[in-house]
Amino acid sequence: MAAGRFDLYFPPFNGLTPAQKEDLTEKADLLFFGGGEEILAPERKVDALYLVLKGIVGEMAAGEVTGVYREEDIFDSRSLLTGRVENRFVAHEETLLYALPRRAVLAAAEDSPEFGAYFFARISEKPRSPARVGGQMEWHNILTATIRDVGARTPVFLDASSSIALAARAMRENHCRAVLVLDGERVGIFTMSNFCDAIADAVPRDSPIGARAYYTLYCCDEDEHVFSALLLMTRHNIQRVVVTKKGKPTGVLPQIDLLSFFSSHSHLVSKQIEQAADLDGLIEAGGGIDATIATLNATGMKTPQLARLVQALDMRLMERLWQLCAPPEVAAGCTLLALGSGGRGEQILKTDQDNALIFSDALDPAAVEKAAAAFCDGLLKVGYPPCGGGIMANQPAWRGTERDWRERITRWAHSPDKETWMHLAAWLDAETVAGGTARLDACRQYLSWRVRGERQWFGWLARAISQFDHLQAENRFWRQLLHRHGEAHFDIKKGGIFPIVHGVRVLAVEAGIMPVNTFERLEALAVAGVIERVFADDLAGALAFMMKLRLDGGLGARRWGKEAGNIVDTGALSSLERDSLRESLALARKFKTFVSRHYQLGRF
Amino acid sequence: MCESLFAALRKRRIRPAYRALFDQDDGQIVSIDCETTSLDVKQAELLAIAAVKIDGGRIAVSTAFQAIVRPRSAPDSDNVRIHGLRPVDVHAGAAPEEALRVLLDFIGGRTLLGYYLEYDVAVLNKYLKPLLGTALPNRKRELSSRYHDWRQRLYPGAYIDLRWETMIHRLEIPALPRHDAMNDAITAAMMHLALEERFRPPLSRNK
Repeated sequence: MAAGRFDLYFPPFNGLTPAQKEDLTEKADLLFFGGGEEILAPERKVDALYLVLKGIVGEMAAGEVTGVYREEDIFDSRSLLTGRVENRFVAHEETLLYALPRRAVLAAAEDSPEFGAYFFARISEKPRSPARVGGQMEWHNILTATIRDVGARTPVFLDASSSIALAARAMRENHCRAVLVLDGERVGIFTMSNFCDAIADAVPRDSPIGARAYYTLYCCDEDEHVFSALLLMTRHNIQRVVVTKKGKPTGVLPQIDLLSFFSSHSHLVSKQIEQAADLDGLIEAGGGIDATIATLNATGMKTPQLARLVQALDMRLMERLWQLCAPPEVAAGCTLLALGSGGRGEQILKTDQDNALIFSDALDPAAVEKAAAAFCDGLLKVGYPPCGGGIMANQPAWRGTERDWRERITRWAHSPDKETWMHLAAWLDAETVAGGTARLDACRQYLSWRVRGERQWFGWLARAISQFDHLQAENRFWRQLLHRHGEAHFDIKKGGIFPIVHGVRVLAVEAGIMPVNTFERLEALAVAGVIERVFADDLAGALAFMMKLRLDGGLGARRWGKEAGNIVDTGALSSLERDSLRESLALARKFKTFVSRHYQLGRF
Repeated sequence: MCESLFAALRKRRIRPAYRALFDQDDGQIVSIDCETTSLDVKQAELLAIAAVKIDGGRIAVSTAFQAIVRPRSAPDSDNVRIHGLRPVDVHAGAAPEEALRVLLDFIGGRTLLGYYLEYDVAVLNKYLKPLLGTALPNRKRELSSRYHDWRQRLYPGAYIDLRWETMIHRLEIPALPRHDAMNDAITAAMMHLALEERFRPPLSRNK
């Protein structure tokens, strides 16, 4: 059968060459099923991978729908290795399938690692789905940015008669790796490599730079696109271009600046934060963080890394805001904390502000209250919505001296109740924003001393993991998906992210692990042997993927002027993403079982 | 009953060498499509033949029959625009008799399916009669008349559009590029299965 009869233009087939596609489809048949007909039964031998050309297929386990496959979806990739399916597959409506022979799929997987990775990589290694339409828009912004947007460095001009020693001093003083050389009408450049040559050739240090400078300059006008500068550098293998305005050299643009512009706008934002003189300046910088997020997500930066970068910026912004709000004597006696996702470094889009203060006994509580109120109000104006649970430094319960905090911790540790676990969970993820880490460390040590070895206490804390009926919600979700025109929404925080984050949190605290970031905790738990290495990596992959979904959804919502939330609309997902979501949720479920067994939660 | 009697009569007229061939009927249906030089049967010459077996719900594309046939006269330019087979393409094709022998082997005694099948069969018979001594004895199933029955049942008395594209659209079948004999045979097979699904009594679905 000729390739292209059914155009396999979508993932994972889009990476295959026409010849590979032809090999894959040469022995493929078409299968037609009426609504309600069974396609595959459990334990039956399977010799093909099915691609849905039309219709909807439901995957059933124990009478419940556990997966849904629509046009361009593939099932059952798990059977590729074993040759058997575990679950029942039923045509939900009239369905047309393309049956790709198992042997041909395996051969293609061998030929094309990218294609093979789709089927055989664990979720943590799955290829990232390419940035989608929205992402391309952000890319567009980068593509159209001009050199002026990046900002060139002011050059150092030296006369051609200046000595090499003078040039070296000028470079050192100005922290630059090139100077421009004025030789009458000519302009040249003297760079670090000229300098190396001069030393190598044993040129005396007082000889003029004019004789050793390059006079062929690679120039870009400041209104040219940044990409032309990058191209020029790549083509001529040079480290910098001279930026001109109306033909006159006005600056130098080093490659490193250009690359950091591409990889992030973040350093510009952080500069903006540091230079902000008032709240308005910070509000502007806060907008810069949002733009950075959208851009970096579009350039394909991994979500966990992106989250950490955003955390660094957020922390700097909060620190600067605190400096603006708190008089120096108050600031000196206070430790400002970011709690919850902000502390863990897993909040990307600003969803809420969770913060707290520990202050010295010597301070006037009224002065601290005033500073805290100004701080929370300022954060709100910058764009951090208030915390629904009231976990904010302007609330008396989230502000206190070290002794106050010890009392709270004792209360949490000894009289656990349904409300306090959320507070405790937020507290366990605290990270210092300003004021040194000593006060937080002391509080933490106190907590770990109080609860050390109290297995029952950890069990109580872990129990929240099953507060949300995972399976039922998931089933409802997959069932919704069966209805083509209905929207299928799923709370990815409750259903997938929370169980992983919380379970990891409890296990990490019990194991005395200090970092609060979930990925770092997972790594430490794997090293300590609490969680098997493979499982820990899979969980990290699943969490990263779900964070990415939430981020994509949030950025999409923002583009439509809506609030970013935790709800994922699966109608907008590609089949690749739905597949990964299915796997991620299964991992979250497996982890819940693991935690329940670990703390023997069944006994409660 | 009546049809099978005719078929039996016709079979008796088949030259002995081919008679056994038409006894093979495993209940599968063969969807068939031909591309020709003209729409007038008298002038039409075969350019391409495609046939695909339908086994229950399976369209056996992987074992389909496909042949490009060398015509005695070159396809005229109007027709090239329809089927995209240029004189140079068909020149490399097989002699009609060779292609038809393989085709006969492929279809055996199975029921034939097609869209305006009568025309395709008439052209095939032009070539086959000298070989077989008679016309193709196979049972025939006309896609458009089956489609007509379905629409008639839904909208009694209404005008029924029997155009290919309309049928694809109403039966919600993925459209393949047209006027490629193989694509048309596959599409006809898909339409056939979708149609039969619509005639199936609801109770038999939960098998």
